[in-house]
Amino acid sequence: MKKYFFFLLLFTSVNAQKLNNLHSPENIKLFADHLFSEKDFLRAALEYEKLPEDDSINFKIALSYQAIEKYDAALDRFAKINYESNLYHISQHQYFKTLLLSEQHDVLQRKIIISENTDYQKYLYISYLFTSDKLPGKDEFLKSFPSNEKVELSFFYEKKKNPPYKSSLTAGLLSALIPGSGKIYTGRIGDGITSFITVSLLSFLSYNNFTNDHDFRGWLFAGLGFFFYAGNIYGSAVSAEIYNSQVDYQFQKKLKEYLEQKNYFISE
Amino acid sequence: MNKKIISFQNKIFFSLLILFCSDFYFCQEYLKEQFSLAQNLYNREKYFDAVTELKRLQFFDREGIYDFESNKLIAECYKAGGKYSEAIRFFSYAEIYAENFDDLFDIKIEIVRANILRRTASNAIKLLNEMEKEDRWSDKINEINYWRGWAYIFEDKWDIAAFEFAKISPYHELKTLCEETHQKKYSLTFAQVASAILPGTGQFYTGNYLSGLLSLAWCGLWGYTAIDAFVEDRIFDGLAVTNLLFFRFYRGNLQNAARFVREENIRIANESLHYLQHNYKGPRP
Repeated sequence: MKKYFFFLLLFTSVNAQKLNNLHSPENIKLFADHLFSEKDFLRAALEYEKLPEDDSINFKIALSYQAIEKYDAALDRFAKINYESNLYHISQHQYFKTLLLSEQHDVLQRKIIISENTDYQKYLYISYLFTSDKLPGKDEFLKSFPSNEKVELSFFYEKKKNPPYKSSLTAGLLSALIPGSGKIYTGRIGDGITSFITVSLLSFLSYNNFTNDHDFRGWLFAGLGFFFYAGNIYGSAVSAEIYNSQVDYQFQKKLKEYLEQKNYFISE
Repeated sequence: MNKKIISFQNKIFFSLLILFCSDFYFCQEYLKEQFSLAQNLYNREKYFDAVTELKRLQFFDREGIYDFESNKLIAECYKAGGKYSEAIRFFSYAEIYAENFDDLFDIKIEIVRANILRRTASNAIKLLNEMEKEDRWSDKINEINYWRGWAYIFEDKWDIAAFEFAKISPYHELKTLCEETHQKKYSLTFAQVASAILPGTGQFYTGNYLSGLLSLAWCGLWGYTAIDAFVEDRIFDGLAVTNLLFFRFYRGNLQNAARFVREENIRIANESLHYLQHNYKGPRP
């Protein structure tokens, strides 16, 4: 009977410990997984960090940091994953994705160029779309991507190769010939018409005053007219620069959205 | 033999009972300890850690014993950390688990307070109006009026706030304060109309005498020049001076009058809010 009570007590206390210690490694892992699935990534990362390191834990910490845009911490963790691990291959993909997300294109290009694995070539080419580096031939570029994505990637390739830029010189020259036309050329129609009316009106006022022997007013309006004319030429050139920046911005935005939608071609 | 079987069955039953009771007891104890840990972190203003521990408690509290308390405390952590939208979300969860009318009322008031602090006082007023319509809160009408008064303060409607506090008591401290604040504030319409009739008057009204004098002088100068040009049949000059100079200063004068009223009213309201923050002893949002 004594033995029975002794074992009952022992089993009960061990069982209670096992079930109820919320801060035991098993429970921390369960809780961290729960936080991760709830997308509470910072807390998830901090919970995983309490656990002994292994590849799976490092991978989840890295993914958590990547999700909250702590890219350096994520890169450190992805880099720790062992070459022999099952997670090595996927972690390398995630590593390059993190480099793309953190816009560390030079590091990414250096790492992929020295890598012998052709599987990562697509990240190199994606990084070329973000930088001013020379793109490879179209067939070579598309070869690295899945065949069902080639139409959209071909569109991005063409847009990068031949961006629909406007020339600052053309805009300036157009505005020098017909005031405001340079701004219309860069898509700012309202500004162009306003410039045309302002310069024309001031020129007419100047001419009218000179013909009526009001020399002072003639020179005053001529000066003002010239000021607006010169400003319009400069403004048109700047407008072309702004237009080109918008083209770049829109291209990068669309490309990022597309890559995000395709999860950077990483299979889950 | 029969006696032995009974004894064996008793042992099995007894063991299972002990195991079940111990599990339940230890589980309760651990959850209680976990909640105390979270409360302790909250008291030490470690809100991030407190939320983590409360989320841990919620995850392991399969029976939902602490659903109300944990959600409420998470909301309070977020509120203390200035994350009012998150606070309102968790107060709303706590509202679902409130077990009695008092808890439910307290949570609703917490949601109102968080809305006031989030500067979505219109939501707070809407919620309070809905509560007022319900019979079950008829004995809490003073509290409802009190928080509605606060909501109107944050809406910058000091006169309506005074009216709400007056419903509690005609001598309520906040009623007096709100009335005084409202009386101190300047009228935007008066300032603009006065400045439209005589440039600079709106600025004088708000105590900005130099700006008022300058407005009057500029408008007077360009008004005179424009009229003089029209009288001497210099129509082009008259139009140019009127459009480019007189209207520019006249419009500036109106805008200045409005700006000074707004600035002064903000200063007056801030003074009252500063008093409420540092000197008022009653409950605040």
